[in-house]
Amino acid sequence: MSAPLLEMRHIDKSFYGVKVLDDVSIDLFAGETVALLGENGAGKSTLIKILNGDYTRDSGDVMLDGQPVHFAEPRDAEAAGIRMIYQELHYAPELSVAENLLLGRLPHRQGAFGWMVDWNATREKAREALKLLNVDIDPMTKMRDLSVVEREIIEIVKALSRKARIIVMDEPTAALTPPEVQRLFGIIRDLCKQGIGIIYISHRLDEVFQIAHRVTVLRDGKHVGTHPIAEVTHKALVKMMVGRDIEERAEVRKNAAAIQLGEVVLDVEKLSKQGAFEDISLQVRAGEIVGLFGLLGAGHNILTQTIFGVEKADSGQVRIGGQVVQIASPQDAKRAGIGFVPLDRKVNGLVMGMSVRKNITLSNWRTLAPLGIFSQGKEMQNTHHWVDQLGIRMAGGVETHTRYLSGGNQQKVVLARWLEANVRVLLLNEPTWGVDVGARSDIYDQLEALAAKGLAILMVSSDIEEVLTVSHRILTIYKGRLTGEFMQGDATQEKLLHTAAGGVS
Amino acid sequence: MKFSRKLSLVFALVVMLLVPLFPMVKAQDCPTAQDEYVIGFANLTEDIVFTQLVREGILAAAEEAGNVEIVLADNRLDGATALANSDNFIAQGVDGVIHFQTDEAFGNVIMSRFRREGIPVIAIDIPMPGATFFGADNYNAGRLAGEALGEWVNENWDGEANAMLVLELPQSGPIPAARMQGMEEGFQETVETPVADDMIFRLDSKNTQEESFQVVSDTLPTIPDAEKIVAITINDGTALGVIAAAEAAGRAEQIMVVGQGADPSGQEAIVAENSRYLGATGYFPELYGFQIIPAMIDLLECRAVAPAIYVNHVFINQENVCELYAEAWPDFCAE
Amino acid sequence: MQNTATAAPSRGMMPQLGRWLRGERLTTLNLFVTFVIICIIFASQAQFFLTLENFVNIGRTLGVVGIVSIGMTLVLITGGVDISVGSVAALSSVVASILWLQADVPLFLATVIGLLACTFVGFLNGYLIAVVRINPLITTLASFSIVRGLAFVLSNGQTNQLNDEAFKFLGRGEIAGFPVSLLLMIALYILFFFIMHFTQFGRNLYAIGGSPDASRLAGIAVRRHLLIVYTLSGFLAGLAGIIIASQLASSAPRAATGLEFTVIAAVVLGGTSLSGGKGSLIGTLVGVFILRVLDNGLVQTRVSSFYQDVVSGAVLLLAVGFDQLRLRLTSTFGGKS
Repeated sequence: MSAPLLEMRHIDKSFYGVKVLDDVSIDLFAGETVALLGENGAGKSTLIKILNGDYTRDSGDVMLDGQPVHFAEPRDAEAAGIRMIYQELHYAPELSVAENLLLGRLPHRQGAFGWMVDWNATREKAREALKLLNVDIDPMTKMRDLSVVEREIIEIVKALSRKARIIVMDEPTAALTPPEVQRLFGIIRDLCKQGIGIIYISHRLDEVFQIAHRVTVLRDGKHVGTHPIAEVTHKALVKMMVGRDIEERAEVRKNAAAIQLGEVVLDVEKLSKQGAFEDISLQVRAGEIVGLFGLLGAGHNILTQTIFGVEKADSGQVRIGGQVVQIASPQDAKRAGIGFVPLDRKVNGLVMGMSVRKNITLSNWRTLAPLGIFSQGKEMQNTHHWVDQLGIRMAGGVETHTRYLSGGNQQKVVLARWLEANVRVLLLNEPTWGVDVGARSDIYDQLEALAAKGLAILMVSSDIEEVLTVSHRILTIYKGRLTGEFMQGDATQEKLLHTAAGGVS
Repeated sequence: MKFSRKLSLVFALVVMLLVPLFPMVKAQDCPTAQDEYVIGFANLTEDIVFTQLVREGILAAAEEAGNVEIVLADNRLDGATALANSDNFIAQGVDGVIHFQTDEAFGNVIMSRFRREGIPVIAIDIPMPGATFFGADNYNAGRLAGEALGEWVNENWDGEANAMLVLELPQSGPIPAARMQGMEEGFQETVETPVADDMIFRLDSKNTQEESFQVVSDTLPTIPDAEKIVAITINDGTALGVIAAAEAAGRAEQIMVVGQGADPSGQEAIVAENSRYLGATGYFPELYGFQIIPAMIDLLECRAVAPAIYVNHVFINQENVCELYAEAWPDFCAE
Repeated sequence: MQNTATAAPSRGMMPQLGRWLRGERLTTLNLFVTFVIICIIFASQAQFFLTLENFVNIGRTLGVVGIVSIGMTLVLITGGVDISVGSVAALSSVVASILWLQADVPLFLATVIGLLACTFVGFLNGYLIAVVRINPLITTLASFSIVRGLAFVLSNGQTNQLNDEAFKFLGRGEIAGFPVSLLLMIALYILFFFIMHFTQFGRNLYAIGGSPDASRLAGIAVRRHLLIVYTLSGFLAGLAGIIIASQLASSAPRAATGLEFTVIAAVVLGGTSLSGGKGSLIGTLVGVFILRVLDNGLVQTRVSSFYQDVVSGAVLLLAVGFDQLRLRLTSTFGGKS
């Protein structure tokens, strides 16, 4: 083989004397997809930011086509054909898709009217770019009118629409449905055929096995290993990332039958909301974890929001422990003993600029502050209790702002809040979205432990592996209606996908 | 021929003497003179007490004159509105116009219309080119107050004050500056021992009572030894702020204040027991009309009128307040 | 790869205070140093700056801005703003004086009714912002203008004397040598410091400003909190208006013009963020002191009033700009990998 497209050799990087990258190397050949794996904080982002010119390396070499290069800023990397697709999207919501795609390089008219934007050409160029991904979106639609999925696709289109040699994708499938993921993979394979090199970052190992040629694993800023994908197993990869064996969920699953279920705690009867879901009846018992699986937009996210009082139902009722409860607001839900872990914890779940301690005690003044005044000692005691119990890991103690926590630890803080509030029912929306493997496993352990203590858990997820792993019972939802029910032992990926796509179970 | 030459000389002299007298004798030859007049009055704004009083005075004076009808308009503190009002006056065929408008830039345009129509104009407080000016005599109004304060110091503090507070309004241009200058010069030239330059404290009142309270509060600690302090202030509110600050600092007995305006709140402070407000120069907006309407009739009947007519200012203090405003202060004036 | 600049967990008798000191220590310390430097400069330039009489004077003239700043700090922490405070301050004394002079209502009762009127205006602000969901800037801009107009209509544009010894005591009186308005202000700061740092209500305000959505989903009654905060702001502005009237022994419809700017400047100077979720009353108090001492010192050093405005603005920019610079430096070099 000729010289690699990209080589990063012996990269070191420190912040404040703390070594973030320690002798890390990665290479990438033209036409190849390399998966970059590692838990949050392993150094993936730092490595990518060095490649992109965001950070400067302390030592080591970056070579493109065998030639050493130095990118002082992202613009230099872009000029060299390096494209980034970040997890967090950057776009102008009030501008059209076409304008976002061609931002800063809108085509202009010819001749005397050269100062005017040529809207016809803009639309045409945008349409061509969209064709690359076979996307059926009108280029003149405003960005804010698109769904999250569509916005993500536009972001990918944007990166592809300019001549690229290396594309770095940071969790590109986090917001995509399985068919969309497959479409993206098709595109990635096409790109490889064209000789483009892809660095693919994901927490979803099944995807990695589908798309990557080779895999490079980082842990704690060190290079753990690089292997052709055919030579590693799922279990081996997890061990490389986490540094320890993670118990196979299948073991736990075997014990599912032995689980003692209690009374029905959450009883939803004929709940309907126009345009979102219709005639939903479901029950969750104490000690039970019910997984609600659907593709994005199937209505399951709005269902939990409605039970929690964020949205209003048109008809139907909710009983908690046999009592009918009127829930018009989250306060009512909290009073009824319902906790809710929302989809986007950065926006909806946590106050990022507040400490872990304050976030945990945010909903719980009844126990901590009987007269509206906090008991300091008790607050600290309870906070530490949950930090230990859930294994919330952070540098700097419970006063650390939640924005400095990894996704998994953030999610645990939201969990801790509701546990502290002593809820009987826990609603979870996509609990491990953007959470790394190790923390994911911790959260699953916690959910099981909580259920064992008698909590009724309803978990909404679009991640089929997750649903299969954690749930005692699985419901599927399609276009706002329940389409199937499976006990843990009976459910398979195929069955779930089939019913979640509208098939009959 | 000697006689006839003499005679013709005498005749020529008589003619020469008579010719200039001719139009004055024959009033009906004045083209604008009539038995009854319609006069337009465009007020500065109808939102503040001062201009409301001006309007009331003009209406009262018109009634007193007997042969004057007033057409009212409101300039709303706006030059363009004033111009529209001018066109409206012309359309209604008024004989003369009294304009109280704020925008000097519109003065030329407005005046060119009236000049074309031969309509005489009196401008209140803000001059317009070619119009007769009527308004405050700011410098002398200030002097009246300054001199009164100087005389009070001569009589009560042996002709000497330790410090002078000057509560001015520097951002508002020449009119308040002329009043302040009048007060300061009036005081310094009247008092036996003028206040030394370094004991004159120029403070920005920002035209509010609180600001004046604050800056005087901040200044008083820097003159702990001064036991005779005089203050000259740009208006009644500012004067009240000075007095409040001195009272709050427990130094009311050490200060004497004069101001400009003498509006009801100022009068109330003047008539108060142990008042530290010696008095204020009155501007008498309610009396403007009684000078303006006769002047307008003079203009219309082709009699000579001075290019600028000034308000008859009076320094109002405890001695004369009852002559002017007895009804407002029945308790005080009954004594 | 976590933030390494944070300190170890706290122990000891007053963990809350200790934590507060650590969390906002730098901002408040910078501010306090600024304050001390300003004092040193004036002490060397103005002969009578460091005198008892001047201290009493500063204390007496601190209350108005200080009290309104409490409400403004709370409002800014929730991510809102209240620019109607100056107008509301004028309303309280106008209402009180009209009732007293024209309707023979006893002055104490008239004052209470004036305060209630202001509280009601604050409540209306809060209702429009929290329930009808009109932007706070627009809502309070409207009430800024409406309430000022109302003060002029009620008073007919006239200043009224309020000559009553008991009434004047609030603004001018002293207890054990301390101005009454200063003692009142300090009492309010202690009360609200306690509320903001030791009660659920106070903590919820930070949460609401930090993330309204997360707060709602945590089961916090966001609307009720906003309603209370704007109502408090109206009440405190009214109280400040009464202090102004008491100091001047008169009520004027144009009183407290521009107060909102001074107050916002003091609060922002004290480290409260205009985008919500961050701020402290201690910082605000130092901010209020800085602005007041700056004015006092500049008058005493006989600097032209035009330069006084320039200097006040420049200090605000320097203090806030320096803090931003510090924040940027720590986040650039202390951030995660």
